Amino acid sequence: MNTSKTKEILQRVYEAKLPAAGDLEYLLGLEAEPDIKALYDLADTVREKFTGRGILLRAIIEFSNHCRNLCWYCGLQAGNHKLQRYRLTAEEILAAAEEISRAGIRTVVLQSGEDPDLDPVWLKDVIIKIKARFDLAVTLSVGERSRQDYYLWRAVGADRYLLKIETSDQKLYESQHPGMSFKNRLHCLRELKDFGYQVGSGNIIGLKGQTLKMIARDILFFQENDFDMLGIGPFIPHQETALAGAPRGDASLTLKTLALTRIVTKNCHLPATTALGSLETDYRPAGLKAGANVLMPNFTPQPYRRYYEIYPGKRCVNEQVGDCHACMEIMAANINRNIDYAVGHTLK
Amino acid sequence: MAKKVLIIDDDEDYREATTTLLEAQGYAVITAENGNQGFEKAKSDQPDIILLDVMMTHKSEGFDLARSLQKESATKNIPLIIVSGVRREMNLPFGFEPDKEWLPVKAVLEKPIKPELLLKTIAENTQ
Repeated sequence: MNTSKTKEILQRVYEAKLPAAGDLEYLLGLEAEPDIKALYDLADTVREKFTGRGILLRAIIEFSNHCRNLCWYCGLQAGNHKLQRYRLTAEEILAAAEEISRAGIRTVVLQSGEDPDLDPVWLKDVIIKIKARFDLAVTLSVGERSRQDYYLWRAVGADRYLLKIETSDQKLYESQHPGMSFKNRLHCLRELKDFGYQVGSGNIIGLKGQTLKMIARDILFFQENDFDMLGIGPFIPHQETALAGAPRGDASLTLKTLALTRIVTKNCHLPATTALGSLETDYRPAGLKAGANVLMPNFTPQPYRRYYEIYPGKRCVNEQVGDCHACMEIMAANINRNIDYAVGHTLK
Repeated sequence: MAKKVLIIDDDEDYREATTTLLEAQGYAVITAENGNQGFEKAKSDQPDIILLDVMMTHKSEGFDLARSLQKESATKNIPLIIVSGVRREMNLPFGFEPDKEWLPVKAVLEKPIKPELLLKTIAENTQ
C-alpha cells in the first residue's frame, strides 16, 4: 500500500488531457482499500463537479432480441437456438414510450440485437411517432447498420446512438466477435458522430485474454474519441454460449474502470449499468458513488423482458413496467442523491 | 418594402451567388453560416422566408434547425425551404419530402438548383 503515490498519480491523471497508459494501468491494479477509496472518492468529486448531484434516467425498450451475430459472450447470439425470439410491434413500442413519458422520464432507448430483418423505414416511422407524440429524446442501440440507415434515423430526429466498442484491442475484439471487423466498428462510430448523433460507446470488463493494459487503452480510446456517453459493465457468462464456464468479470475492476473513466473524461454521461447490478450483489449504488451519473430503468413490456437475456441473472426481469423506475428513486435517496428528470443531453 | 430572405448555408460561394441572384430580383438578403447563427438571425431579423442547407456543422444540422425553428414562437410562422445537396453527397437511395411531423418545411430542393426554380419557390412562399 502506498496511498501517497496513488494520490500523486490520481492527480496527474486528473490534470492530463490524455494520461499515460502506465498510470491508468497502475490505478486499475490497485488492491489496498485506502488506495481504492481514494480513486472512488476522486471520481465522485469529479462527477459532482462536472455533472452535478442528479442521476439521469434513460428508459430502455428492448424491442427485438433477434441477432445475426455470434458474439461469444452474448446470450442473444444467433447460435443460441434455445432462446425464444421476439420483436415488438410499433404499437407496443409506442405504448411503452407513453409509460416512460408518463413517468416523467425524458429519454427512451430503443435497443435490439443486430436484427437482420429490422426494416429501417419501419424504425424511422416509430421514431417520428415517438417524437411527435412525446417530449422524449430518442437513443438508438441497434448495432452496425448502413450509413443510409444511420442517416435516415438521424434526419427524422433520433438524438443519440449507442455502439459499444466492447474492447479497443483489435485482436481481442475480433476474437470475441466472429465475422465482425474492428475497422468497421470504428467506421460506424465515426459516421454516427459525423451525422450529428450524440454517441455512446463502452467496454466489457473480464473478457478472456483482456489485460489491465488493454483496459487502460480502452479509457484512452474513450477520451481520444470524445464520446458523449460510455457504458462499462462486467462480463457475465451465459449458459448457452461457449463461455458458459468462464469466470465473471470482477466487480471491483469494473468499478475502478468506471471511476477512472470519469476522472479522465470528466463530463461524459456514465451509467451504473444493469450488468453491474446483476452480479452477486447489486453494485449500481457503488457505481453511482464511483463516478456514474445515469441509471437505465427497463420499460420493456412483459412477457418479453425475460427473453432479452444478454447474460443470465439480469436484474429487473420479473418486475412490471414502472417498478424499476420506483426502485431507482429509492436507490438515489439511499446514497443521498436525487433523480434528475431533465432530458440530459450531452455535456460536451 | 423588399421581402427579406435569410440564407443559412456553410458554403460561402453558394451564399454569395444566391445573394447576388436574389438582390437582382429585389429581395433583401441576410446570411448565416451555421445553424446557431441562423437561429439567432431568424429570431432577431424576422425574415419573410428562410433558405436552409442541411449539412453544416454536422451532416443533419439543417433538419434539427428546421424543427427548432418550428418550435420557437418567434420563428414558427416563417416559411422554410431546404436547399441541399444531401441526397447526392450522402449517396442516399431516398429523398426527403416536407412532413408535418418531422420536417416542417414548405419545400425540399436539391442542389445544384436552377435559379428559376429557386425564384419560383421563394415567390410562391412569400406571397
